[in-house]
Amino acid sequence: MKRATDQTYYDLLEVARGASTEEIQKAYRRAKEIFSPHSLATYSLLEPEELKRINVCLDDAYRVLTDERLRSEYDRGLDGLGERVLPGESPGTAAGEVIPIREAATGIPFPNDFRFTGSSLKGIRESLGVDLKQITRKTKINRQYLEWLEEERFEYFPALVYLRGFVMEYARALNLDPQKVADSYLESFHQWQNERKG
Amino acid sequence: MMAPFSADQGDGSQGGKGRRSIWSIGGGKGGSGKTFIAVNLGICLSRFGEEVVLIDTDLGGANIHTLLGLSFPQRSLSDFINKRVRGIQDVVVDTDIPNLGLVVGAQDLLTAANPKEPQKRKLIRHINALDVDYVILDLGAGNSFNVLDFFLTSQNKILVVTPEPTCIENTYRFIKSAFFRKVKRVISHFGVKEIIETAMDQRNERGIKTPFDIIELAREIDESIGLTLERELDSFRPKLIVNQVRTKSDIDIGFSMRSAFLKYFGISMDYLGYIVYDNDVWQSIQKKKPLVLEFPQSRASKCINEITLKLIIDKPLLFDSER
Repeated sequence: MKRATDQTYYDLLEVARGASTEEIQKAYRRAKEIFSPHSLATYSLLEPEELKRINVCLDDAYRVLTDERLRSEYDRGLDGLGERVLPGESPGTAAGEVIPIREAATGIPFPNDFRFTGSSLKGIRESLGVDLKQITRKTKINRQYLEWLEEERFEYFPALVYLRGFVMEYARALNLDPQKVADSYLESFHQWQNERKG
Repeated sequence: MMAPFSADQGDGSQGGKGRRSIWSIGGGKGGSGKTFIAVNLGICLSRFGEEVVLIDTDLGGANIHTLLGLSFPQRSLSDFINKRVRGIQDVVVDTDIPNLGLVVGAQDLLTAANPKEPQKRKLIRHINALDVDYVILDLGAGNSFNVLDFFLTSQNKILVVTPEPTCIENTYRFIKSAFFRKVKRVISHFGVKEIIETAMDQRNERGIKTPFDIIELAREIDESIGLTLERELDSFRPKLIVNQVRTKSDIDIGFSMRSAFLKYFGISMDYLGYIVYDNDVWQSIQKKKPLVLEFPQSRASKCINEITLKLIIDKPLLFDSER
């Protein structure tokens, strides 16, 4: 971790090394807002001079990264320094959480009308040779909740948002499309809910 | 209805007895909604069948019981601090909510509100040994050592801020004090300790303001201490909730503070989410009935559920462009 004034232009704008010009423009506008003299988030934090210094850096970053020639020169400089490219996302994923899923299994094409239910998800999980413990490790979700999810014990989930969130994490852990799986899975939930209302 | 407990909860990364997770709800300012959030998060967790104990560590200004509609219980932290009971489990009282226990703060200002260092250490030790799934600490306002030490003992260090200049300012001060307190305890080198001491004075003459300044100075003394401090900075990772948001730009304050934390302090912070300004919150407090039970369909309740989910799956809210 470095001071703002010592950070790379990419870190400074909080964009990935490969960010597009449009992404850089957006990030720049956002950063300028955060570090404007009227910003609620920073006014009590920074002295006027510090604010000025950071803004100078932001302007430099923008000038260089939006100019193709300057950017590639800058990139070469970074590479030369052995600057490590920061992964843009998921700082929370620590080592050792990766589920060893066979490469071939991850791209299983499911027909469009495939119903992802508790039992079909369990089936997929088992056929991939993944046990619940591994999913728990990867998703941080208590094993008990995962069991309820597979058994469709909807009554144990205090609100829909949890069920949806857990199903999406579960799907992600198995490299399935989270949105698709959740939409399909929740059909059963809505059915159950309607039946209960009678 | 209580959810069933399986005998084996051992591999839940959060929850599961013997692996309790401590969440503290802090932030510098009074009135930002810490107690309200602590109570409602606790209830959300308890509804999964998790055993939760809420501890009102606001020594001197205890009021969780009021939000739960209870009168001040027979037993409180005072009894623990004054050694009238053997363990903290002896001052956990039942609430009307299944799986949710409560420890109310001390109300006798002179002794219990200012526990001596060994008493506080003992209290923290007992909190860490509580045989439940989750412990939620409702911290008092301000950044006294008492408040900071409870904050630092928890796995989820949650800050509550409202979109107001004063509250944001206090939050920065709080997090700075907490970090300095944290590193002061792990560093034994006299000279570096002195630098940290100096930094704790907001207007120190040496102009030491941020963790960066400390790390730089520590490095000059001993490279390895500098590295230790950097590691501490990396692992600190507080979490933020913006409460009482009224506009989209109020929501964005969380992201802006995240940037500011990172750029100015070098501290990575997770933005957990926001809670909308909602009349139902006010109503629930007036009625002394917790929001998520009294108005489960309210917008604010939904926000609290979202935040609980984010905490369970340990994933922060993402800015549009990060999704």
